Amino acid sequence: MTERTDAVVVGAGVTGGIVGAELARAGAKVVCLDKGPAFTEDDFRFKHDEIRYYSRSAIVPKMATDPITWRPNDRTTARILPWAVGPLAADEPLHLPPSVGTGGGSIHWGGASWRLREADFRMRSAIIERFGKSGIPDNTSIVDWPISYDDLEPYYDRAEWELGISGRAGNINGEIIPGGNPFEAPRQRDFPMPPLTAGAADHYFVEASKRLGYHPFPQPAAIASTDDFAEGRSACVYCGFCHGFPCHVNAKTSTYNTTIPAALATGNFDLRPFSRVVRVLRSDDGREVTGVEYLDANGALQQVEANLVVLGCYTLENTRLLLISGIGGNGHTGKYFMTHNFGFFTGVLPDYTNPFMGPLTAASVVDDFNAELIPDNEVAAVWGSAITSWAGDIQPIEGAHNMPPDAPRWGQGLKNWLRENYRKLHSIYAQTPTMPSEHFYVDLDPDVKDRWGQPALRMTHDWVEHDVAAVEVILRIKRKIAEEMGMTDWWEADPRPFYHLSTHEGGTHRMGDDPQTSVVDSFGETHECKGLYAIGGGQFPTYVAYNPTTTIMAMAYRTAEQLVGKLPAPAAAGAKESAQ
Amino acid sequence: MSSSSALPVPMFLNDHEARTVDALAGRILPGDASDPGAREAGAVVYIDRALAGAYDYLQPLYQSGVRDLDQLSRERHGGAFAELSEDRQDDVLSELDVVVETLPTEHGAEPEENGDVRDPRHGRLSYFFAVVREHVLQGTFCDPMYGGNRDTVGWKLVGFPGAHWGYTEHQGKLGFDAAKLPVKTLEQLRDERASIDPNKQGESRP
Repeated sequence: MTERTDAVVVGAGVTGGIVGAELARAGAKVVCLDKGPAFTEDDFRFKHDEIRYYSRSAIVPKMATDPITWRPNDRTTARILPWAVGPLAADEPLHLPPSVGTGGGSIHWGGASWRLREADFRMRSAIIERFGKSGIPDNTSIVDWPISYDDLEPYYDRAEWELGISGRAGNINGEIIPGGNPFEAPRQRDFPMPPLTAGAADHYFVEASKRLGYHPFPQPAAIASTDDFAEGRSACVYCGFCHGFPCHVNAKTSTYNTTIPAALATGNFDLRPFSRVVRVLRSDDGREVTGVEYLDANGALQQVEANLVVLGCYTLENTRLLLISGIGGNGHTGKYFMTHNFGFFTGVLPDYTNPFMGPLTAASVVDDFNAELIPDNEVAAVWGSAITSWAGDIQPIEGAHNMPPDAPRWGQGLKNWLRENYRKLHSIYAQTPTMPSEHFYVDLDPDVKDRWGQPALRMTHDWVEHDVAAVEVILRIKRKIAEEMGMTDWWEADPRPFYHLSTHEGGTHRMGDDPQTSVVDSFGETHECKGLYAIGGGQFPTYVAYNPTTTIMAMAYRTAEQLVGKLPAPAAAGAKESAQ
Repeated sequence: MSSSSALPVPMFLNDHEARTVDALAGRILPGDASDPGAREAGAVVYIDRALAGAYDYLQPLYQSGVRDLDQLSRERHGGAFAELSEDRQDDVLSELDVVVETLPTEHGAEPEENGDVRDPRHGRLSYFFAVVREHVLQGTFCDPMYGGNRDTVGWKLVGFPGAHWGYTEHQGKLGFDAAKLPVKTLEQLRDERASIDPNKQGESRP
């Protein structure tokens, strides 16, 4: 007999952890399926291992088990992400999909924790207001979002206060707070914890930015800065093994150490690790969801029935499951793939600044040129980026990967370079967003399959003129800051980098009010199949320069509230009975 | 070539291959007893263990790489790579030192065609050299439990204090001399934490 439950949540990460927990707390029986492990604290206690987590990307999906293919355009044959395979792969977990297992991407993330700008919710209007209609780049499908900042504000507040975000407010109910981000949208109250203590080199970034007339402020971080935020969670200890690594003291905010334990405590949340969903099941007419089919930890095919199925497994995997399950979204599923171009910029400071300490996010940001605040320019760049200092969290192998292209690659010169400069490295990065375009999309690869015979997802994406233009405009500011900081030497990443994945993927199951032009509504429910939700960065209709996760958390809280409101009282009561 | 005899029995490489990889490590990050480099760090031990386990898919690359490197060394200088003087070894490596911009095909170790090399072996060998370089860095800066970074000489070279539970606010301040910090391996960190109440493992004070 097929098992039946109230809700199936696919992925125990950020969205699944939030929506699943809220449903379980409201009394619904939830089955949560994750293809990764159920982590325990013992797994992370001695995580100070650069080989395991950086060089060998221990906690993120591998191309051997979870292949994704890429091609720059539809005239070429896609192959498995070339930057992510083989011994010279980028060795950078952030150029692969996010980590799997309980907590999902919130295990490996750096924890940059942003509320979007008001303009980010209305990119089309904001570009037209700033540059006129001709400012909209060719071959793009830039729209305004179906929700505004005000719609999400209460849920940002929940994410910050329930999960634990540290930072300094810049704008509380319209009042500009000194030391915070003067460009941020109004928030109803401050962060629950003060900002982290910035890495030593950040001092130079802050002073240089101020001398240039910019407004640096501490980056909001999903990392506890105080010991008393929540039971079992310590303040950050500044170990320096942070982005790409799990946290050994539960300072880093993850659903693994917040919502999932709360969900498990209800007795209503049935977490099943090593469970790989292969298909969403629908009614005969296709218009209602009826459950999922998955491979259990032993590789046996199982079914579980439910009238509510929530996909919360990262932009690209959500979309792969939609496509495999035949949810085409009027041809829109897979369209408008968007990502970040980091424009990495690394230099050498005059002094030792010990960049191996502290988290990546314990550093400052300049927001003066983000989004619609981009400076006037002659290269037709229309959307800017935050500019972020990177003052810590650099281990030796990562440091060696960030060497200038003209440095000696081997011999005494290499040795001398590392000895002299590793302790002086400082990076500055941005995250210029790509624009949604019909030309950039994902679909099912016609040839490449995973080991269970399911098609790999195929990305079709290339960097285009306006991506490069935006990177260049922001690079000019970085150079000014670097010079003012007293950097003796710096080097810049190619504005058309080798990677086309940043872990921050957006789009491909775009949200909107109109089923003719979008795949899901603003709550993530698919227009064409009742009860099937796809939540995450995939919903973003346009992209932003901030890290997406806190917005995804806020969207998940908003959806969870809607779903809990829809729970039939008898179902909830029945769920409690069957839990006895 | 001084330290070859001190190498442990290899898990995967044969003795000649191990000597060759060890010689490569010595040219990539040179050193001696007073100023250790990759050889003194035992990078070859790291590489050998990795090839026997996590990097087993690269076994053919290493085996054919050593063979091709020896052949080129014989043609140029009349002897296998590991038998050449360091200057001659550097001459061979200079010939191979092109930035490998080609990327491997799916899971594999084979580079794509490299159009601008005179000898078809160069493409393969340059790729092999780039891979060994990467692995020598790993073997020099890994935690010593992986077999490399012996006596943490790699970390000491660059001033990295290793596996610390955390750092105090004072240690994080601008101008703090990190050379004052003890260099800790994961084993040392675990031993240090073993005396702490298991229920208080999560607490913050380093």
